[in-house]
Amino acid sequence: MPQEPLAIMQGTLDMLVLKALASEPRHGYAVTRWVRDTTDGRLDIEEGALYTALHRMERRGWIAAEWGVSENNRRAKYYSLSPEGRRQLRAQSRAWTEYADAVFQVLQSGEARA
Amino acid sequence: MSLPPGVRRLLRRRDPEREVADELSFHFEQAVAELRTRGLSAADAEREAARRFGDVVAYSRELERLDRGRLQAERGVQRWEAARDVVIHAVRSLRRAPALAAAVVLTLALGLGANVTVYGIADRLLLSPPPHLAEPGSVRRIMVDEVQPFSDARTTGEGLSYPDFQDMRHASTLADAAVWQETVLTTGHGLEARQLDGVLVSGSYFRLRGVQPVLGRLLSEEDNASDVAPAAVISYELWQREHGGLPDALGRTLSLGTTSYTIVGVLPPGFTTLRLGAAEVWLPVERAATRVVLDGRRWLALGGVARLREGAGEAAAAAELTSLLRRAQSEIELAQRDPEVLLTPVLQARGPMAPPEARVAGWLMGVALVVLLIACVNVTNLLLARMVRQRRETAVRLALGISRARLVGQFLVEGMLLGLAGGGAALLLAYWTSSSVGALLLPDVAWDRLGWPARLVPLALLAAIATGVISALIPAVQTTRTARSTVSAGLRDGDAGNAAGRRLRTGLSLAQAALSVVLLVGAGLFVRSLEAVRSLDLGYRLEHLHYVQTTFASGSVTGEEASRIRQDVLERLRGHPAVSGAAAASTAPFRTSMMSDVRLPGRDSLPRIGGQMQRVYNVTPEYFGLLGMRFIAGRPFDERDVRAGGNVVVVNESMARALWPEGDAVGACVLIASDDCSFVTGVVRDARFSSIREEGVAQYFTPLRTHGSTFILVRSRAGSAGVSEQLREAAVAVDPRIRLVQVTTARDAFAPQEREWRMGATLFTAFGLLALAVAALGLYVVLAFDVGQRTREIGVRSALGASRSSIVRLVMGRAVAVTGAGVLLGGTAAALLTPRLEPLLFGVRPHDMMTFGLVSACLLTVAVLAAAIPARRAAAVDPAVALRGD
Repeated sequence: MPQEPLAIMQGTLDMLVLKALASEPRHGYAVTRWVRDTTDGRLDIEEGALYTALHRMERRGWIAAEWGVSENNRRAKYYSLSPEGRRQLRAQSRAWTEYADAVFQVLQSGEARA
Repeated sequence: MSLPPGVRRLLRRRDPEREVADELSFHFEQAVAELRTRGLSAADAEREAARRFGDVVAYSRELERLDRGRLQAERGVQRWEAARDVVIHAVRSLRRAPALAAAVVLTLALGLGANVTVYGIADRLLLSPPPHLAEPGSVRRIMVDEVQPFSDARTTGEGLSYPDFQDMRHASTLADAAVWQETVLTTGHGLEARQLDGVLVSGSYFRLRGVQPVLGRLLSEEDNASDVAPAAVISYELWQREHGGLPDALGRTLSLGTTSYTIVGVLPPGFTTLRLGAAEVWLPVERAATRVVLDGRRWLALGGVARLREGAGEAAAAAELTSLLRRAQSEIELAQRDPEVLLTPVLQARGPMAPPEARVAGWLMGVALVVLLIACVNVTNLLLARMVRQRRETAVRLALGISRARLVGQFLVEGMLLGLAGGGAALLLAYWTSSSVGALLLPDVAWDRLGWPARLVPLALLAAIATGVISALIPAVQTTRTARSTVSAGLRDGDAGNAAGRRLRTGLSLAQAALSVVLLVGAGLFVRSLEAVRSLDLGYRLEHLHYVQTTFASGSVTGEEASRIRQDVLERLRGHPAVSGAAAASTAPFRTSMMSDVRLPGRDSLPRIGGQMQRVYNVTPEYFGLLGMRFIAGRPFDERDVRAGGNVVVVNESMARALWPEGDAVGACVLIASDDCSFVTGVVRDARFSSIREEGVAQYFTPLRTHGSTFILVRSRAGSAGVSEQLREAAVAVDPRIRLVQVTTARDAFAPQEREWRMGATLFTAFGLLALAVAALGLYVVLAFDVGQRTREIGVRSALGASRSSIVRLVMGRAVAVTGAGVLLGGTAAALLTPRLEPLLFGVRPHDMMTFGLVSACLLTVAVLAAAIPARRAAAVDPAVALRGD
């Protein structure tokens, strides 16, 4: 059974969406599915919020959008990473990892003293 | 994933609402479909999909907002890119025709350059206040309008006396008032002596101007007190030149005249007098001016300037100053002179004492505009020719669906670029020529200190762009109109040529010719005036004539000693190898003149000859021979006459004719400032000593008794170089007490007389030739283009048996006809305009036939020359080739 969903931490939404697009261009629905599948549904993210992130980053030029045709032959809006988006993804995931490492280290040291 | 660009563009135009709706409906379809494969009912699947998504309405609105922002930003970028594309296209299209672009830019540079130069000068004279004058709006020159003693006419004078100033300075309507006297100061001694332009100022002067020193302090009221050390302020330029810009200049002494002044301050760079003149030294007037100047109420030697009190009207101030001025004068003086104070603009050229050059500057502005007009017409013509040549390209682009507005815009952008390039070149041209043209126009203005009017730059560039766009407007509209009406015709060939365009080009050529005629007639009249001035018979010869003036440090010699030393100088110079003759006189031609009344025994009053008083010249006997004056009757007085008591006089023709109409002047008795007879020894022809317009004025000559402040006149031998310096050295060597010897040439003294005409002739001719060159280029382009257009017609003509000479005549005839019509039109316009030039002309009538004739001939000749190459090309057309077409 899925555990109790985690609250999404601020600023990580963009990173997740960028990561979703890193391997290949996807339409919005595919992005939401990718996020749900890779987290086993542990992150409780409203899909509307993912769409908002997509459109916001399109406006910033981090991702580009094109209308294309889906697997089942329907018109769908496909998103892909721009070079700037790729840079952003690298920078944000590095910052996030360092942050997480630091937090983890603090928590570890606390356990050792106890 | 990529789509063809056309599709992408189509999609970009979609509105955000539909895009978001499409995107989300796809999402829900997919979500519901997937949930149902997991076994949910349709209703449950929809509910679950909606739950996962969140508030659909709110998210949709947010997504639309984001997309709208994105689209707006994209449209901005697109617009900028479109503008950039237009400019790039224009640059490319101009680069394809470099010769044409160069011709256009050159034409514009000349036309605009002439304007920037002239307007820069006019701006300096008429619009910009003098430099370093605080709040110029409240500052006025003080002038006095009164009846002149010898002429009975009311005239305005710019001179105030020092007592007048003392009466006026505390007027309640004035915040401040100041006076100044421009003067020449001598520093150094003997061969090292030199002269500096100086200004003597009241203590209030610098306060009124609101200027701060760059070093030390400026003069104030205290410096005019008699018990402080005499102080001087120097110009920044003198400080740089002679003190290396070092602060230890302060405290150094300047020996000027008989007084030593301590330098107490340095003025900021570019400081000029209120008349825009350069000056190096500024002294307190009460310490430096003579007693006569400071005490004499009729000694109108000072310029006055006032700053109005805030809220005080100009009229009220003038009225108060008038009453203050009149209070000090006697009843008789008031009745005779009836003085009135005028408060006039602080800019000399705007006031009643504007120099004639300012008037000429006004004319030049008109002339420069005409040159610009010609340049404009020429550019229009050049662009027309080019655009017709491009008609095929234009037709193709129209056929491809490019809008007419966009094409017109394209042409206008090209015009704008050309204008901008021309404007830039014009500014460079003006920057280089302004100060030399200014110096030619007004040599007394310190152009180098005033700097270049940079505030004209944006205006000039704006004018340049406007000129470019206006010049391109007609061609742009013309080309797209014809190209559109006959896209297919344009694609075929253009020899059906558009008749309207041809008429237009012809009309423009005609206008150019007409405008050139107007300018050249003006130039011709000025050149003829200058010629008349130069060849004017003054009644004596100016060539190789030098004036030598000797001054002493005051107090170092008595009057008699000075007179004796000057005689020695005269003898020394007379014996100098470079000198053919020398004489002494109280005044020299075009320097000063003295007026004095004479009486005749037995007659109460004498007629006023030529409306003026007699002018008197005290001269040594050699004077007449030296100047080359011719005697009509009798002889000059000689040494024997002088030794025998010297009661002799030579009169001029006008005086003899007026006083002794029977022709019995020689031997007659004249009473000159005494009751003893002076006997007329001879009658000499009238000479012009004061002004070239001097005519019919009575002149008489009496022997020079003492060599007071006299001129020694020297005629040097032709071909001797460096005479002035030789004369100076020879004169200084006569006596160590001589402080300064000035040597000037009579030509230099005469130069201001011809300045107006030299200036008019030079500038009108320059502008006229400029216009002619531009017009000739324009005519050439039109003809060459026409011949190119009419190749087929010419081919038909020669196939039908027309001779080569008849084809040459065809082209030449057209050139001459167009130019002839232009000459006629321009001649008429010139004939209407030139009478207004009359006051500026000398010795030539405004409808001078010779000028009009020469200009017409000149224009027709140029037209034939401009037509020569196109005519030859036309004659060389091979009918077979021409008829085959392309």
